[in-house]
Amino acid sequence: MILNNQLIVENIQYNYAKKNILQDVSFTCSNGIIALLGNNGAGKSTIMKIIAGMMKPAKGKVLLNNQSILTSQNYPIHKIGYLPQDFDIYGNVSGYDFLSYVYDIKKLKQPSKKQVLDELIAKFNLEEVIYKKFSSYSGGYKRRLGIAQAVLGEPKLIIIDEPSVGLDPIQRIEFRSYLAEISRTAITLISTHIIEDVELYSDEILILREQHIQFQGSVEQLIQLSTPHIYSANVQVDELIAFKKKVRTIEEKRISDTLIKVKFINNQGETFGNKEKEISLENAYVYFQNK
Amino acid sequence: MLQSLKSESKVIFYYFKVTSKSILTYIGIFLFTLLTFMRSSVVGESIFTFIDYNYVAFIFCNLFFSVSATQLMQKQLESTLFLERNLWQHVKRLYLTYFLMITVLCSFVIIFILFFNNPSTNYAFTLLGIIHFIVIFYSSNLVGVSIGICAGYFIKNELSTILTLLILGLFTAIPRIVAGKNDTLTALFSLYDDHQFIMTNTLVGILVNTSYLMDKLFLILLIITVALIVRFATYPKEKWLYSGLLLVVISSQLLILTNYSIPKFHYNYPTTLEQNYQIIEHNMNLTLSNKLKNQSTISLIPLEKTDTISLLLDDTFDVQQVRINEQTVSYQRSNHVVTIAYPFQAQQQVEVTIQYEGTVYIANNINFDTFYVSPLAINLPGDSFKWYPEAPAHTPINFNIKIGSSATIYSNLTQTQNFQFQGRAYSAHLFAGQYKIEEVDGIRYMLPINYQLSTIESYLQTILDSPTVSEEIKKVITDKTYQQLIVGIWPLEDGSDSIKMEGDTLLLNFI
Repeated sequence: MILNNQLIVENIQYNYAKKNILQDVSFTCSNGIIALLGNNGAGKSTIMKIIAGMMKPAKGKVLLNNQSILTSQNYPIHKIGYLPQDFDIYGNVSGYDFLSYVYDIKKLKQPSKKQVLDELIAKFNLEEVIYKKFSSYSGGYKRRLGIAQAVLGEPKLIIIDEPSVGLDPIQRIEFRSYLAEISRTAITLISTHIIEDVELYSDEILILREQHIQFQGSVEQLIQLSTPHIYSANVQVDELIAFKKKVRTIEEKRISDTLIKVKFINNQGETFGNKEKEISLENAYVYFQNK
Repeated sequence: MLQSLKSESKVIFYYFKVTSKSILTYIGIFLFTLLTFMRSSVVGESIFTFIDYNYVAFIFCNLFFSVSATQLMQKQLESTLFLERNLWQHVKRLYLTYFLMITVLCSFVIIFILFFNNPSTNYAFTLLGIIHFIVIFYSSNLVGVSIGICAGYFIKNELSTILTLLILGLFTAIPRIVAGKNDTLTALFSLYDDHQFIMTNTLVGILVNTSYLMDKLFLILLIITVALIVRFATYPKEKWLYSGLLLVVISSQLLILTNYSIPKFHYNYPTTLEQNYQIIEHNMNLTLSNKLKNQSTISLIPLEKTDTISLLLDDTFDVQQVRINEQTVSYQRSNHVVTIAYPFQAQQQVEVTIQYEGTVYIANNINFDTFYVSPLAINLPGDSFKWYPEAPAHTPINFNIKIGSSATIYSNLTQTQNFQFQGRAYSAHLFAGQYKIEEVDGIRYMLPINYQLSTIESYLQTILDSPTVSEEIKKVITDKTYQQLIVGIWPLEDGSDSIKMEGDTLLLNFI
């Protein structure tokens, strides 16, 4: 039986150099992949670091299964996995040494360390490199080791900051399948600005904008929310510049040498164009950021 | 608890791997080992000489530890910070890791020392030498590690390595620059054996006295200071407590800086002191340990009726009581003289008992250990150093000395029982330390353990051509009429001879 975990983030406020970075950030989530979306500089990494206990908020609470993790004297690292954006370890030790270190520092109590590590290594296809120095790893192997260390000990919450950065398309597919598996038993909180990934794997989306969580829901809900406002029109190439001055375009697609299909946000009840039926998450996200 | 300790030791072991699996470590340990092995013949002379001469290897070792610590500290990995929670925890683990590495290297050197050690070195001196090595090795390397951690923390790029090298360079340069000009800075800022700036006294090994302890304490406090600064910067809690501690530690260092001194020998015994008595016999009940304690009973005959008599006794000693014929009398001290007040009658023999004690650690003008008393090493040449009350004019007297000491003592007087010496001589000389005994043609030679008898014999031959040595001594050397030869130490700056005859004993200066 898989236990459902619960993460509650309540009224988080974070200031830096007298600037308000986060204001009353609140959300609740449970097992599955939760994607935290936001433009660059919106404060995604700050939220992730606050939940990871690496930054102290000015205000607010973070509860994991009703236990406050920020106020507890010993942050429960055995219950939480963290993969930072720039995952790096000392280059002169092997991946095995590092996993072994993570196992020890988390004081995991599984009966056999070797068995646990061997299974993890096999699961993330790290056998080929695991005893080699980390400095010799390719970007893909580094990322795999990063996820492996984050999921070691079957944590209840896994925090992953910008997971797809630096991965090629094949590695991203591979990565998505790992995430799908680990999120069955844990809350997997991912911060990203790559919409395409979110569309493929996330169960829930959080959109961070102007220091607040502005949206929480599924991909479908976000699309649904934006559907009445996204229109499209076929525009002559020589009229495109003038058209773009009138509306906020979100996508352009070439139909022929002279014709472009333009998706745009219809906020002011423009009479031209038709309601768009094929709305992607990216379209919905851009709508949300501009509404 | 046990599980927690087990996990913690494994984490330390991870850092041990991180540190040891680096090219810097291979180079550092290779150079240290190479330089140490090149000194194997010096260990064969004396452990202390080895520690003194091997400072270049120590420098390489310090460089390795400090640069390694800098690089490990400046690389503040997010994954590590998440797992270890705070930087201070990380710093503590780094300290423990380097402590472990230092211990491993130190153990190898100890085995090396034991393997190549001079077979004439006795157990106690071997132990003292190893302890001295451990103190220097740990303190110098931990200073290096502390500098590295601190620089790596505050400057999180490659500049921190340059800063570390600069600071460590200062610790090597300052004692050299101020050597001979400022004893305090030379001793306190030297990470290695202080004797690197002067000739090593093999006979004494090392004196674990106040100066030595202050010197080493200064380095330990320095390590604590740097660690506290890092603690203060990395961990937000209990800042008041730690700033208070930092203040105490820095104040202690300043206290050491302002109070550190090496007692020096000055040749200012009075030469014009009136002697109105004649000493018949001198009995001593002497304890030689970290201090010299003596109950000196002198039988003397006043030559005239007088109210005072004066005896020479170095100001190093505190006189506790003076008795005459078991009656406590008053006395005065000034300029190495004890003046005793008593209605002395002409030709009426009295027994003067003087109880005194003092720490004997006196260096010459170049900080060479010259007069000393420790549980293992003793250098008390009677005529040069007034370590017992004596008359200004030298005349032969009967000595009867009972000694309490853990060292094997050599003297110009005859040993009648264990730690009991008797004989008629101008002065009583006592020596102990790293000696080896050789007996050839019925003559006993007490030599420093790194000396060869052939070297001494050659030296004696050169003395025969010296115009400053008396004909009487030359005849003694030529005819080999001496029964024993003891190598000791006394200052020559006051015009003393480097070779002296006391009864059947030839005394040869080590310097």
